[in-house]
Amino acid sequence: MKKFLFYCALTILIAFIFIGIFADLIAPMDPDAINMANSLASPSAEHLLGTDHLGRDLLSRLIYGSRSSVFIAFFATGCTLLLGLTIGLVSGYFGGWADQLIQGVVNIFQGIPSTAFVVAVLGLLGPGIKSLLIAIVVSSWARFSRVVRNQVLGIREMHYIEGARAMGGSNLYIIRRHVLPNILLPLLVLIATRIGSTVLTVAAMSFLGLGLRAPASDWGIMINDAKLYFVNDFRVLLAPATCLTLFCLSINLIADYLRDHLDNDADTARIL
Amino acid sequence: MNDTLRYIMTKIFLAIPILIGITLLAFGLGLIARGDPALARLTVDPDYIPTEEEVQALREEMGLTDPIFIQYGRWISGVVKGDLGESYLDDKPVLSEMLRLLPNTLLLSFMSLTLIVVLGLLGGILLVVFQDRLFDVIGRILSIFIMSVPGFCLAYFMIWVFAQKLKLLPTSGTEPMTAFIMPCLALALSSACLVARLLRSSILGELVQDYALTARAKGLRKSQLVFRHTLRNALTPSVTHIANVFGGFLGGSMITESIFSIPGIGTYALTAINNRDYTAIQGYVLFTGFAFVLVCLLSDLICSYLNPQIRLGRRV
Amino acid sequence: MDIRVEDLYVRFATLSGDIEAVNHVDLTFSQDQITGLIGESGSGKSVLGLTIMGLLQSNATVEGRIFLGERELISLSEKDLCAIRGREIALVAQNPATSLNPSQKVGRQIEEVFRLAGEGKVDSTRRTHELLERMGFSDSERVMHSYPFELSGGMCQRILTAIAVAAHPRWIIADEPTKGLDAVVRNQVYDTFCMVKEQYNVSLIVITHDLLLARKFCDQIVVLYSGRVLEINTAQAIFNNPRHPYTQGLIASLPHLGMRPMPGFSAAFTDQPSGCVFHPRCPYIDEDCRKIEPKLIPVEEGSVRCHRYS
Repeated sequence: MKKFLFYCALTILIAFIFIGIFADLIAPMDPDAINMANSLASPSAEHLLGTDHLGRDLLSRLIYGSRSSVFIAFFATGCTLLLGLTIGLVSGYFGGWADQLIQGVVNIFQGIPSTAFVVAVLGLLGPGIKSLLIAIVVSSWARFSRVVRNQVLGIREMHYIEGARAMGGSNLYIIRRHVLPNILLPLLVLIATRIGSTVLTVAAMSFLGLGLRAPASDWGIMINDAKLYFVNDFRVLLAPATCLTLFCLSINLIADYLRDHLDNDADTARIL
Repeated sequence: MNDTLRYIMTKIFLAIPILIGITLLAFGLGLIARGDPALARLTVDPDYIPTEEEVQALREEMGLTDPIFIQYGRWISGVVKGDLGESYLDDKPVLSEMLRLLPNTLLLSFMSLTLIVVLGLLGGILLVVFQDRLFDVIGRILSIFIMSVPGFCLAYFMIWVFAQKLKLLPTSGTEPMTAFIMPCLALALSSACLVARLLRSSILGELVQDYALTARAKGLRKSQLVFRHTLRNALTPSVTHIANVFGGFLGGSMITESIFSIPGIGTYALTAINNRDYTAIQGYVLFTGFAFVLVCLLSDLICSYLNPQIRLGRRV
Repeated sequence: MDIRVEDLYVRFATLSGDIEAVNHVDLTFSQDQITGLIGESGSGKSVLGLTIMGLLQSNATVEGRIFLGERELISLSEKDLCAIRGREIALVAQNPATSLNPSQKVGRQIEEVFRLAGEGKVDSTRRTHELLERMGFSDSERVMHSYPFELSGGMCQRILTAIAVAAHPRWIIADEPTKGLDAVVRNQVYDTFCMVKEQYNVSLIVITHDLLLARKFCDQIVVLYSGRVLEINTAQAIFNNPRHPYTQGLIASLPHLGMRPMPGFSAAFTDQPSGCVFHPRCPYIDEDCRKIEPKLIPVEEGSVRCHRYS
């Protein structure tokens, strides 16, 4: 059952990624083609999901929307991961004053709730995709590095690290061969949840008009556009909201499965 | 008792550098973003082009040529006195403006907090009690689904159902009190589900601990075991999570407040950002940071109450 | 009241396959004797103890029957089992350091047993004091207000024993009571159990891999290996005249008898050998041992599961 849900979720996620990559080929129409004569049209053979208030094809906009959401989410998470991982590894593996200093900075960055942080950075840098990326990385690297550091601290004490060091392994070698593989699984859970929350943040910021700007195709912008029209035609809101929910659901299911998997290993070890 | 007191003092003491760091961060962000206020002020009138001397004179008058730490010192001494500066937009003091809007945000935050605590704890405990039965399975699927619905989608969905179709609740504003129901649900529901799931898994984690075996061997039933022994130990992660969420709420939830037109801290920040009102943004960062750190401090103290190992100076 | 185990079979479903932890065990624990269950880690001895109390996790499948006097325990409802646990059969869990609730004061954890038995608050507190003093704590007031992590391993062990005897059960199952304790504390534990046995008139099942404790303390000894009973005999006979090759190996590995290690390792649970489970490590291996599983054969006052005695 759990496994089945996990594979469903994985399929959905991969489907989103593919749709995002090949948006040009899949989308039946130009997402920005305005046709005021055909605004808010119901689904038909020509427009499978109908059109929005400017007569743009809803399905095509959704498809291009998944491109921007998926792209930004993966890219931002990748950057955060790189930054957080490096800092966390240095902090946890080498310890000492570097650790103290880094933890101080991490504490300060963690002292501001992430949404407020993103909004503030966006407000100061001005809206746009670049500032959005910067805002997300700046506001979330701290948590990442904290998790990595705590994992590394636990592993550093293990005997096999001592053994590797005794055998003359260099720091870089030990990190690559022993530390990284062992923090990978917990990290995977964090990455998954991070991608989910990044998609949400992007959508929320676009919705507030601080992220991507209209007329770009983005789920957040589509929801923002829909807020004046959904009273008459709920479809224009439901479409992007469903995509967003589906994406988050698949991420949550994947993270949940990974977490269970981690726990189960521990459980089996406990019985034996 | 002495240990407890020492623990609390240490925690408070440790929060001070973080708070100072946040003032630095807020000041730095403002510094990076504001550009040159002197130039900005002189070019308010588009027809007038100021000379370089005029700009320089005003810079000196505004203290912009001083070293940065002196500027910071001047700013922080104002902050300590409760002066966060005046908004560029309407020259109203930032702090009093935020304090004026605070009650709405506070009301919304506390209502949401109550909902999260009640629903989250109740849900988590029920899921454990009915573990692996129909209620548990349905509850888990439902909760992961609700968790995945973004707050603003939920908000519009509720507006559509309860305000447009059923005409039960007002869509916006702060009067009457029922207007707070939908914003509160939109804010709290997904966190409540998350807390329920978190609590469930941490209680289940406690149930396989050695001490739970001793307790069961005394003849305790499962519900007694959960309430008397495991719940307390399992609460720590949930408390930390709730504190994180609540700390965020105190900083104003921009999306919910703007959807439901509630004048609060969030909408204030949003207006400030849209108008590039840097003093206000600076004040906002400072305010949310302080609120957040204080809430987290409180949650640390609650956790240390729940788990005496923390406060009595032993590593868990 | 004897505890009689008939054809008990316990299986755990895990991710890495099913694990047969207890394999068709027939045993009688008679009430006037102290029975020791000995075996290596993973021989199923702890699982057997927990099965008697119905305390296994939900991924376990239990078949067979366990009688406490006339009552059959496996078919009892959880509610009826709760009435038996603590009051008729009590447990002293292994790992004293982690077997007490870390966030509750020790006093309350003992009082809870009295409260469950229906006593009032004042009485419970008073009896907890008495109990602690009887357990050899001179400053019972301070101990009651301590958290478990403020006490030493040996003290926690005595607290656990106090919890077990509090409701005057007929049976106490002690799971590895000396595990991880140093020699002095081990002796204390031994003294405590002797005192408990005398003063409370309980019957005991001691699960241990501490052979010396078993010899000193037990009347009858059951040797378990891979979830099967290999030999049952009086403590004296087991140590003076071990019959099963495995028992012989165990005794020979004792420090004062030369500390000769046994060759090989216990079989993996998921991949058990055919025939006699011990045959891959047995020095007297025969053709039959590989194919036919031996039965438990009565020999003099004990019984042994080995083809050499048929």
